[in-house]
Amino acid sequence: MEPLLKVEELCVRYVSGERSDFRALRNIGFEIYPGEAVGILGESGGGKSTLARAIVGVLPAGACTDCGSIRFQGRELIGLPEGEMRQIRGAKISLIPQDPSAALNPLLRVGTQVSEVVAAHYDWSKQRCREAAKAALREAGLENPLRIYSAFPHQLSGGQLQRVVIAQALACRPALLIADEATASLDTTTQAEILRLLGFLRGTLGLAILFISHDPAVLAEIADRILVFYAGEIVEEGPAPDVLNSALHPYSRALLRCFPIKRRDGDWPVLKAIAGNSPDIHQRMPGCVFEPRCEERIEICASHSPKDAFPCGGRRVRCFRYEQ
Amino acid sequence: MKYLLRRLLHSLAVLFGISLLSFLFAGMAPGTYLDEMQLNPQISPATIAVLRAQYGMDRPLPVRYLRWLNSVAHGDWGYSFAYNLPVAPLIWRRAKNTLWLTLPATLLAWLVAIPLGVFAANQSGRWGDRIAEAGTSTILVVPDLILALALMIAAVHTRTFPAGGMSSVNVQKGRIADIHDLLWHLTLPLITLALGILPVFFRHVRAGMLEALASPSLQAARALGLPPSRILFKHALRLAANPVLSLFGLSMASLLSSSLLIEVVMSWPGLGAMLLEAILARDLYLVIGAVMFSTLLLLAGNLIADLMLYTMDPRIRIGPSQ
Repeated sequence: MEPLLKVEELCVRYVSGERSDFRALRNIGFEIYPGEAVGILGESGGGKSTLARAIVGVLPAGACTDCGSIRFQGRELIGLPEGEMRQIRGAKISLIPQDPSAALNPLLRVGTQVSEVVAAHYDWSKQRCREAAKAALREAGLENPLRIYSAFPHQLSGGQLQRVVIAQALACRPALLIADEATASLDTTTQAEILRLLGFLRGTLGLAILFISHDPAVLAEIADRILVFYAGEIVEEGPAPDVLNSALHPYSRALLRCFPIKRRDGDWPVLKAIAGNSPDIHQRMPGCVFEPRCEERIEICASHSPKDAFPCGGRRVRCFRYEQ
Repeated sequence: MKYLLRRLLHSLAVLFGISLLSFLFAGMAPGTYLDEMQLNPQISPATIAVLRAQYGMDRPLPVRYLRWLNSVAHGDWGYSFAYNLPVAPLIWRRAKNTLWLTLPATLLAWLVAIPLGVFAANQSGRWGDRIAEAGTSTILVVPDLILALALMIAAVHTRTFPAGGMSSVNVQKGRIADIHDLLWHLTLPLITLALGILPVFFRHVRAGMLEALASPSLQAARALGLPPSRILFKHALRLAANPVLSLFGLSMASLLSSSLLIEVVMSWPGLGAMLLEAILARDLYLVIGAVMFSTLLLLAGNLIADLMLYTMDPRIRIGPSQ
């Protein structure tokens, strides 16, 4: 099967501004197949959001894609003219931003902000866009779409706003949904409801989802496959249950030790923080990015960069311990 | 509605407070109009004593304040020593001229500043922005006086516009001709004043737009593929309106002070020149009247700004509950 999204050798670097020369993403490569849910796990500052924004082509000011390729439905997105890219984002690839209460314009009615997305991508009458927006609000699980339609963002709860943002993202029936910490600002109950909704929509719409989170428990709920991000690199990839239960990379293992997830054998792990801070990568340093914080480092780690190793079925890890 | 009522009450309280303070400070200032009169040997001390009693200057400050409040209630706003007339009509006659100059100038400045600011913010960092920035900075650093003089010299040389005053001496009477004559005299001071306040407005609009364009909600709008024109005009312009409207309220207050210089240089018979004279002559009630008028302008400006914010911002108009 053709992958829906194929990212190869993607590098993103800040070329100006206060973070100048910061290498946010280095040699990122992965694939998403139609209907698949891929989770990205990693601590903040690891480049997860940058990846999301690079895919839809709205990198923050000063950042640019150095090299690499992003192919979506067989079409190269890097270097695509802005006008054509604009027709893809929101229509074929949608991004659910981090904080729904900040993502909506406080001065415009919620309904206007959903129907304008439809209007931006279809040459429809106002009336038809409005109907499509109401349908999208209903689909996102809002019980009273007519009332929500004419409400302003400040009148809605966090969970309702999250559903509005989902309605915006799904109104044009995209093939790929990128959710950037979409549930991080919600309480646990609402978070579970939203995850259930996304799972349901994925089933009914045949949607592929790229779900970015720092929380392994959230990814355990929704993801088929997990990519572990560290300092702008993918250090590990594998089927979600495998990665969560028997991580290979020392970073993944250290990260998972920070969360209380019940293990397969029924035991609770001992919680443990990772010593040190994630690095600010400014220039190409020799050695593995995780080496300074790694408890299992060997001599070669400081001087050489590890390559991807493929130890067993569908798994990938960037660590010397698995290189033959 | 409650919001606007509260604002109105607040304004009244401020007005009251300002009147008290200006009375207190004017009372503390050394010398009065009558003291100046005493220096004149032709006026007998008896006359001055009579005048002092007539104007109530022999009474303690609280009594004078109450008397003044009474005259405010009658629409007189006190009595001018120098003009021997009630203050209110005196001020209004000159204030009308000032408003004729400052209101159109402010309007003009906004009409230029808003599109220019939106354009510059949209072009941020590129040539259009740089040119607009450099242009307005240049105007900002040139003193208003130089600006006024330069325009006057140009007017005299080209004989296109009068170099001062508000009306011609020998103009044929008639409504159309009067208005034409007024506009002709208005042009130069209007442009000078508008140029003087333009850079500040422009900078505020540009900064407001830049902030709006960088806000998370507009980043989200961009990620949803909305057309740039819609993001700029429907979203960013509304978000930028809040700080800009607040500035509008404040700019009303500075109308009098900003026009003072131009009124004097271009001999525009406005309130500024009269206020200056009144201060020098210690014409107490006229000064207080002018201060009150300026306060009224500030409060009116802020009320208008509040009213516009109220209609613009649903967070103020409609509470959080449904």
